[in-house]
Amino acid sequence: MSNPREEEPLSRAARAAEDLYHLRDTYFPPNPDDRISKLQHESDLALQLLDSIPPEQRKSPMQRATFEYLRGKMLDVFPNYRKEAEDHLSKAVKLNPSLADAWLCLGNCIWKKGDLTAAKNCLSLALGKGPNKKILCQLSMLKRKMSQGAENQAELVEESIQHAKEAITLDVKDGNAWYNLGNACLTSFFVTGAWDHTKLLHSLKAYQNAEKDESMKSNPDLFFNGATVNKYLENYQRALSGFEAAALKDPGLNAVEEVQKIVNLLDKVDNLLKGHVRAKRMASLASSLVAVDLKSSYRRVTIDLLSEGPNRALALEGKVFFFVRSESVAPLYYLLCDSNQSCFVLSIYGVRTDVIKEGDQLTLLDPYFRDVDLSWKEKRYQFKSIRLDFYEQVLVNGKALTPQQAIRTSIYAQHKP
Amino acid sequence: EEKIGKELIKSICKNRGNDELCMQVLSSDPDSDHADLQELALISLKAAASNASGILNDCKRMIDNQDLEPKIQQGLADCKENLLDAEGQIQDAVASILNNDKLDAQVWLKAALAAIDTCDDSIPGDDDVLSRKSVSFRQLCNIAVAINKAMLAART
Repeated sequence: MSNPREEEPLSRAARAAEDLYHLRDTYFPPNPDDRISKLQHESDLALQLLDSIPPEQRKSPMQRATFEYLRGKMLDVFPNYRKEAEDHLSKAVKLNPSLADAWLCLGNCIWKKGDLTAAKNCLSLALGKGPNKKILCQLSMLKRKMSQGAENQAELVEESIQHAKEAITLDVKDGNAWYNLGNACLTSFFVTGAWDHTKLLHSLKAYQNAEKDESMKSNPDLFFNGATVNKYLENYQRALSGFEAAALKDPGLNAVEEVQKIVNLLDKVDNLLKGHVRAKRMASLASSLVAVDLKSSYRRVTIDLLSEGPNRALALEGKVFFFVRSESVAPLYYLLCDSNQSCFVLSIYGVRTDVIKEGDQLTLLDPYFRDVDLSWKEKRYQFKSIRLDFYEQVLVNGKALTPQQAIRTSIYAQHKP
Repeated sequence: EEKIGKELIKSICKNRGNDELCMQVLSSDPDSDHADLQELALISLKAAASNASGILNDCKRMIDNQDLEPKIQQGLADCKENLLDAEGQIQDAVASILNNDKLDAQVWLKAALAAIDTCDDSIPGDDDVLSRKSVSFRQLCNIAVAINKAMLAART
């Protein structure tokens, strides 16, 4: 019944709106003002195209709904809230309540206004009309935003994760849905005290799946966030490459600073290992190591006997040489030596900063071992590294730590053997 | 009274296109006679993981064939990466089911199915050996998907 040519102007306008949003998501010039002015220019062009549609071609309720939706969408491309955009989008969803994309834009617009509850209600109402991966992703992001400063923060972030997973089940190849899950898991890692590395692993896997989607190649945040996870997992080479890729795509991100933080840490470790470890002091510390009573299930080893990865039921004794100051909230870094006078780095999660001191003897249980060997900008870094994810994995001077000495006191089951 | 064992297996398999394979796989484990939904899901995933490992080994062997043209070799290399992903994702699905997180299990099962699709797409031609072998992998994953959906339905 409909005349193909009658649809064409609105279709062209819809494509112009999509191009406008693609520009918003991928155009990151060195000067942020250039970005704003280009967005303004392209937005004006898109609006002109929309306004050039003759009135007789936007007469039916469907056409009017689409027209209002597109106008609202074009007006809403900027970071700040515009009432005019909200008005057009509200009109669009009244004219056609089935227009999912209009609900999506309206929810986002209301979010910018700062009314998070109304935005959530808007998106939830839209979901009631049928599952929609874009709306689920938007709701997932909104829940994370609402969790900031909220009493039930962890609960809201968990809801965010569930929405992200629902979006993926609708389209498992949608990189944006995987990206969103990665963000939700990463947020969950931070709001639960930055100790649970399984959340980091889940986040990393989600980002890796996101990268399979070609359309995500132009998303600088994906590379930045993936690099952040790799940093916390101590995959330093991947972290450095990821931050560098992110910096190339969007100079506005502080990816260059993140690279510098990692390099600073590596340089500090490298300098300590090469220049500050006096043989005499090391021999003195190593010889002062005493045998600590262990459960019979643990076998005592030195670092050269460890395998790459997890080492179940093994215990490593070491003396603390130095506390290595870093710019990250977690983990804590220490330089230790074992009874063979082999030096290694310990990174430990879940322990307060005042618990372990230089000179302490540590017993490391079930250590995760990595032989770090990476190159960056013509410089090579090589050292042995131990990671502990739970405070129960360390004895300090032969004594187990109390929950009060941990960052958080909640009980978790996954580490129980 | 909840169904278990053979009765449960029949009800799961009757709605599937390839109910013979479904019955065979779910009945093959020593614990099948008393299995509940979760245990049946784990049985099917165990079979899927074993199947994926078999395909991966075939893929690795084929990659070593120096007579293959470069385009096929590159396709096999890409396929191998996706098979490794699928293997990991099956393990993730197992972990999720053991943690009673059925939505998470669904995510990883679908990801594994998507990975095997990408594997097939990366190899030129429509009737290569790996594509034929991956049919059974899809069938096994879909059995687990069906059981997982039954568990999701039982929850509400």
